[in-house]
Amino acid sequence: MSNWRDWPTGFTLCTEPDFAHYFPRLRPEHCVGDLSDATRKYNCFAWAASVDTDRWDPDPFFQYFWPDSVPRDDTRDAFVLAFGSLGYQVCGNGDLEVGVEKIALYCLNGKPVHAARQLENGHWTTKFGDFEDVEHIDLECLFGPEYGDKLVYMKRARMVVE
Amino acid sequence: MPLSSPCRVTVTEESPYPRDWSRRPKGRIRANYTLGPLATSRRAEYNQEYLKKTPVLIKTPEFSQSAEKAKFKRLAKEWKRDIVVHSSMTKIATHPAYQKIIGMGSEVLPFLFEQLKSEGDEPDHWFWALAAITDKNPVPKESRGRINEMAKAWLEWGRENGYVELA
Repeated sequence: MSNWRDWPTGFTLCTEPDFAHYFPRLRPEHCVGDLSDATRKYNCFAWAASVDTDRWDPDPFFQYFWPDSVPRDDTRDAFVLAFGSLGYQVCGNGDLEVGVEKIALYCLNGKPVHAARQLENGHWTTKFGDFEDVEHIDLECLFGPEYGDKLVYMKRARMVVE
Repeated sequence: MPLSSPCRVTVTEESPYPRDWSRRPKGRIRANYTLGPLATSRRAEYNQEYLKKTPVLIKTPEFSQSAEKAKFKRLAKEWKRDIVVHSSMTKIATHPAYQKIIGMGSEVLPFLFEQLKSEGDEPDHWFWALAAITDKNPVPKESRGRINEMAKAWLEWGRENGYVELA
C-alpha cells in the first residue's frame, strides 16, 4: 500500500478516500514528470486533443464544446467521429511510432469515459476529472472500475510545435 | 376520556348508533346529530388539548426553503464524493444524487445559482442541471465548453429571471 508521500508532489487526487478503489493498478512509480494544477476548465477529452481552454462533451443540452458535424451521443462511434474531425484515425495499438501522435479512449460498457494522449517519449498524459493532468508510463495502470479496461486507439501525424 | 386526533370524535352515549351495527337507524341522519350534542360542544376543547400535547410541525415558506436547501447540499455532497475522477458529463450528470437535484425542479434553482455564483472562476458542473430544469440555453455557441463564460451566461439569465440578486 503506497503512502501519499510517495506520489508526485501536488497530486491531490491520491488523497481521495476511494483513490485505491478507483485505480487498483496505479502505483507512484507509474506517474512521472510534472503535474498541472487541478482545474475544471478542461477535461480529459479536450486534453487528449491538446486543448486546455474548453471542456469537450457531447451533452444533449449544448452546453459543452463538441464538433458541429458530430452527433451528440456518448457512444464510441460519436467519439471516433469527433476525434476523426481532428485528423485521428482508428489504429490497432498504442505502440510508439516516430512522427505519429496517438490517443486512447477508455471505454466502460461500450461508452468512452476517459481519454489519454501519447507523448513523444512514449508515455501518456491524462487529465483526471477535475484534478491534475499526469504523465503515466502506460495505459493499463488506469484500468479499474471507473475507466474500464477496453481501449480504442487512434492516431494522426504528430504536429510540429515551433 | 382519552384524547383522540382532532379529526375524530369519540362516539358517546348521545350517538344514535347502537353498538350493534345491524340495528342502526334506517334512512339519512343529519350530520350534526351524528356527532351528538356533547361531542359537538367538546370538539374544540379536544382540539385544544390535543394541540397542547402534540408538537405540530407547521411548514412555513421559510422552513420549506431551508429544508430544500439542506437537501440540495446533502445531494451535492454525495454527488461530488462519487464523481471525482470522471470527465464524461453523462457519467457526472446521471449520478443518482444529481438526478435527484434535477428532480427537485424549479425550487432548487435559487440554490443552484447561489452555488454557481459562489464558485467564481472554477464553476462546477451545474450547467446540465440548469438546462434540464429550465429548458433554456443562454450559453452562446462560441462559449460552449468555456466554463467561466458559461457560468457568466447562466448567472445573467438568472438575474433576468429573478433567481440571482443584482450586484
